[in-house]
Amino acid sequence: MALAFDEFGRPFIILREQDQKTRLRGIDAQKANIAAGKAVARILRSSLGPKGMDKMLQGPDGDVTISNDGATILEQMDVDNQIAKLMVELSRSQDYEIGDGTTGVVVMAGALLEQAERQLDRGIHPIRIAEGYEMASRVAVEHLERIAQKFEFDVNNYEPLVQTCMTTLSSKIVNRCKRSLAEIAVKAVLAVADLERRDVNLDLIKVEGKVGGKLEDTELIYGILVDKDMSHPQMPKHIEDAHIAILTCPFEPPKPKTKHKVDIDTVEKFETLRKQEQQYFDEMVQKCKDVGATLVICQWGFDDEANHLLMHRNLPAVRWVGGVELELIAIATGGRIVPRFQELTPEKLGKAGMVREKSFGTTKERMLYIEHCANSKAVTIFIRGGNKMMIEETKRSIHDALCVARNLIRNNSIVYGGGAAEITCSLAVDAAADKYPGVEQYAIRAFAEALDSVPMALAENSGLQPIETLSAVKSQQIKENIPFYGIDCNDVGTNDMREQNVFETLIGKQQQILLATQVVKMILKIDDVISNSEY
Amino acid sequence: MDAASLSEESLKLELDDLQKQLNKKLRFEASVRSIHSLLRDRYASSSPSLRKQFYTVVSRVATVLKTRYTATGFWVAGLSLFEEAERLVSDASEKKHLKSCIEQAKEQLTEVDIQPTESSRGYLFEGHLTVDREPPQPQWLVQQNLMSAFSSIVAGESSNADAVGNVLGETANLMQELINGLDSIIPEILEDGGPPRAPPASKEVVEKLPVIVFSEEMLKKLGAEVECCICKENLVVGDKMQELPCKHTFHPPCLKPWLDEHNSCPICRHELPTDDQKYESWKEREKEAEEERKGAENAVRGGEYMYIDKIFKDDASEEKGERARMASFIGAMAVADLVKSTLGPKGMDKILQSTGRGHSVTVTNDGATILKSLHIDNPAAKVLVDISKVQDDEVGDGTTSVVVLAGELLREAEKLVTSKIHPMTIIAGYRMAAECARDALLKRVIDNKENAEKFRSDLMKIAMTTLCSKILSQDKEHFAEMAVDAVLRLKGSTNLEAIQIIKKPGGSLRDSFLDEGFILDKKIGIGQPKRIENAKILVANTAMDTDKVKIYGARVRVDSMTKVAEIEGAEKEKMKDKVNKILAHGINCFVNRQLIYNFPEELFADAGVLAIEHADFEGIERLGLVTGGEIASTFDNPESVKLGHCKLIEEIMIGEDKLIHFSGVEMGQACSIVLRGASHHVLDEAERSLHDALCVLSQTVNDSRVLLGGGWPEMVMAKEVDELARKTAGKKSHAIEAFSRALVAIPTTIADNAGLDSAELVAQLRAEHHTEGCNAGIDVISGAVGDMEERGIYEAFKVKQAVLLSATEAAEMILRVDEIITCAPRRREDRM
Repeated sequence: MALAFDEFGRPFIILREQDQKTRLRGIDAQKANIAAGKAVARILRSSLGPKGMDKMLQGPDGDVTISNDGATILEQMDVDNQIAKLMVELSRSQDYEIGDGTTGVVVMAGALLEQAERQLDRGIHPIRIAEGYEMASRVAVEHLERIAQKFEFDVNNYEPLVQTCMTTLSSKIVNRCKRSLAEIAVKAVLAVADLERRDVNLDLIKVEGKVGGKLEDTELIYGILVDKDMSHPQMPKHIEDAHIAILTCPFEPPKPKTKHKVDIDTVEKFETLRKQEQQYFDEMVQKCKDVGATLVICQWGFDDEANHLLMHRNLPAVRWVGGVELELIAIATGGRIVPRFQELTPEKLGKAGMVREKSFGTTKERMLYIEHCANSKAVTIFIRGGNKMMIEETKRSIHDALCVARNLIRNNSIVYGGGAAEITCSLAVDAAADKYPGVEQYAIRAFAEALDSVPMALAENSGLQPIETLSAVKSQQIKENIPFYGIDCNDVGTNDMREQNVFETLIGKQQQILLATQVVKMILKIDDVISNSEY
Repeated sequence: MDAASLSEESLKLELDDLQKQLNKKLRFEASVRSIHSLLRDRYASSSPSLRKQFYTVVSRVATVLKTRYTATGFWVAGLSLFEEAERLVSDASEKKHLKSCIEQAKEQLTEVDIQPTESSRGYLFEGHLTVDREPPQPQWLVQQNLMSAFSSIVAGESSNADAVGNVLGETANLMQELINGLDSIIPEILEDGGPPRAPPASKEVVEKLPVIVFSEEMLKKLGAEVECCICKENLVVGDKMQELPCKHTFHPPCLKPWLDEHNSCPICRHELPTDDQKYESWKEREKEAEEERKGAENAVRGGEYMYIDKIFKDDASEEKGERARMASFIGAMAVADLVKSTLGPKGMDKILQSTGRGHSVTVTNDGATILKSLHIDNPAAKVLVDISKVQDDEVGDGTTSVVVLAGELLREAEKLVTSKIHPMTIIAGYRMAAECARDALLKRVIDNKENAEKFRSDLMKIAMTTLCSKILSQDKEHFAEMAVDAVLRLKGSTNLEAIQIIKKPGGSLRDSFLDEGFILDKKIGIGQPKRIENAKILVANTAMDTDKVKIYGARVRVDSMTKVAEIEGAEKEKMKDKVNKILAHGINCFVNRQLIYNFPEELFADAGVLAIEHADFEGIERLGLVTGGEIASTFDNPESVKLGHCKLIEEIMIGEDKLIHFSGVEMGQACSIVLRGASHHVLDEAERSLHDALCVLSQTVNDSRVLLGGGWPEMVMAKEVDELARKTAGKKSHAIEAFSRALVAIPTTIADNAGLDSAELVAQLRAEHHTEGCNAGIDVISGAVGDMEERGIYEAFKVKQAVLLSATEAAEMILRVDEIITCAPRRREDRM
């Protein structure tokens, strides 16, 4: 097989350096791949749900991350196996597309792989399994569409949005104050949302964190927060009704791109050059002053002289502001980013009601608040917390909540969480299986069983008897024909997810099922793995 | 003798090496094989100690096989090794063990053999691979081995009289086996039953073999001594030679009879085609099978390689469930125990020696400083280090308490986890308890914001409480006074930079003082006035060396010496202009952040202006703040620059150093504290202690709520939390109870550190606290329970709250972890 012959009987090489590569073929390849995929899913399984545990990850430089977010865990895990990398990719794409459910999608894929292994042992061809899965996923997605409910909300009545965000946050470490964080997330999304086009640009929401204080101190700022202070310690710390000049050119003499030399060979030249230099600084500051700016925000640094001139002319300034922040400030204040002093005009200035500097803690930590902006489309969520890892984890949780709120604005259909959606899909898929005449039928049934594994994991993590609980809920769903029954993770006393207010977005769930099926199909189709052996 | 022992030494080393290699999967087979050959060749002749080592290595192989690797190839290699070893060893117990190993290996092999055939029945896919067992050893080989074993035993017998009885039995066994085997081997040898006997080479092919004439050139290439291998005659130029495809040459008459009988090259066994159809097809099949076997071996090894959790990169590790939790608990508790002994007024200090150059030494009692300097590998311990750092940044004090409390919470949690309570339940309980504890504190806070006099005394007491656990405790009243004065001058700002701390070794701690003015640790330029009254100060940040031309690409290019002089003159002129401009402000003191060169300094001296160079950045900022002047960099508009003012500038002496003292400054916000002490270590620690006190005070000025100290808040919280536990239903109440136990651990530690009977004192405290509105706490000085209000031991509410909340948060974070994944450390490239 590895050695082929051409028509003259001479051997030729298909794989270079054959013996240095490890190679897996046929059923072995599939089994190995399935095992790898399952191993990754097993790691995440215990993180699922409101009682899920966290993982502690120590990075290559010894830095510690503690997280419960599937995408983050996998990203930091530094995997080496090719299939494991596929799973990482899977969770990442769910993160990009939906932002939430990154753990669920991997657990789902792991369950599908496990079922596929069983079907392989029965002797069903992998392609048939893949096809069966594909059909089943279509059935499940359609079923979800059918049972989904529309959620009515508007800018004033955002309670439903808050409820959904709370479901997302309840599995994170921040669930202590999930209510306030969910409100912050929803308010932030509504502030930047374009409700007519049903779109939200999450780039307009800046999430800034500072170690210290309590989680309860986390606040939403209708404006921009910049982790910088005024360039001169004696500039005013509080500016009302600011006109902001946003510059991307340094307060320095110009540096022409073409290579040049200015030769000084006489005293006169020395003198004129000196004069020009002074004039140049003067002009720059004057220009800003002339257009009526009361605050200068610059991407670059200032020369000491320029700094003093600005101070002297009573023109507060901020230096070394990053490009992204600069853009956000421009959006928020309705200003334009000006690349050259000559192009400064009064129209290009941004406007903000108040700019103030606030200091934190006992060390020299100051931040600049830009508030009451002309265009309040850019907001900042400012997170406080006991330690660095807490802040990082809160950032990720807020990100998830923001994504959920955005998805609801895009498409206001919801399904019920707590495993309810998976259970009803499983029932629907199981019922649909009997209608397919081919071998795929088995694969479809396997898919239904795989869907059960999500509520099973939820129950397991919550310390319930997984099989017992699942079968009870399942029979309840069938008996009453209501798809709202799920696993009672928080021990509230009811299985009805409507009462518990546990919602998930429809598109998030659909995406989970589709993505997981796709990846599993891809893995099943691999029958030859050639990898470079390291030795 | 020497040579023998030397070779034994080297053999030992080799064995050691091989034993290590057993752990690497890819080298396993090779190393087993080399152990095998070593055993065969050297065992009989080696000393008892070496034999012992041989035995350990073989046992190691057995353990590795049993516990880690399951590939068939490995077992096959292992089996042959065991068999060899079993034949050679003479000790009975060793033999028994080896026999059991062999049995196990055989069992394993038959099992492995059965498995794939069973499962393969279900599949119809192409490319399914099975692994053939190594064919059983041919009988003649078995016989040979038996013979060699027999001879070695006989040889051993003569030298080793002890084991005679044992050996005799063995020998008899062997002989029996040998005889049994002979029955089967004799017909086998006669029939030659294995592979079909190779037929002679095809006539056609032999005829077509190329005939070459041996040339000068070839002779040169092959050397003069080259010969035909069959007739052993040296070749001479001109000989006609027949060449086989493998490039070996022979005389045609010599080769012919050989090829009539065989089909291969006499030297290298390169096979020529034959006329025998059957043999050819057998060969073809054999070749394919060989190929297949190789591929399968490859696949199985690779497959297993992937099956076992090879998801992470090399060196990355993963710990799960109980083990992960244990690892983080132990790490966190170790850190907490490390700083535990520094807690409280009688806490001990630690010496920290840096690993860097100079091995500088720090003596400290400050939790944050200790933890910051530790190199910690445990991820959970890092969480604790982080919270103590945040505590330091945020409130400045309580850095030890927060770590100790978090450690105690985890210690209690560990007990609960072992009694099968889910971590999430513990967390829920802790949260409720923390909330309740905070409310309990809020109910008992004292707020004296309205009454300035009382507030000041509160501050004094807080400062004294904070300082009493530090090196400054001897003179705590003195320092408390200083700290309170300094903080009150800030008027509510938390910017501690305005308080300058200058450390000067010499004198005693008591000689430290607070100066209302401002002290700059600089010297006055030579020839300049040493004392200025009603000073007008210009604070500047400008280059006072040669002013650079800032236009890009400018450079000086001259063609004669005179021009250099001219330009130098112009530069001087420029500087002079600048100085004149500065002087035009009407100042009599000029402070610059950057260097002042000799030339401008001279100019300033001429004008009778005091010029101070190189005041660092913070110094400049503080000076600007104190004198109310602005920091200037351009000097064109003297009328609009705000100048700083002060009543008097003079040079003062502290110890041996001269400092510049600005007194009678306009704005009273900033001040300087001059610390005096016996050594640098004392001064450093004093600065840290004072910093803690200042931080706490400045926070208290903003949030004026205070609490009693000395373990009082912990007892109050513990009481309320206990109450809550009694009211709560469900498993959570265990966690709440545990929380209260953890809280009580703090007064216990304080008492323990002071060498008091903690059990007695804490019990007494608990009883006292049963009455409403009790003010009892531990008075470490008298060693008894006392009224904290009377003794004036106060703490800031903000500090206690931060301790409580961050410790709970950290404990919660560590509890939630059920898996630790450690990435491979980043490899640093060697620069050498």
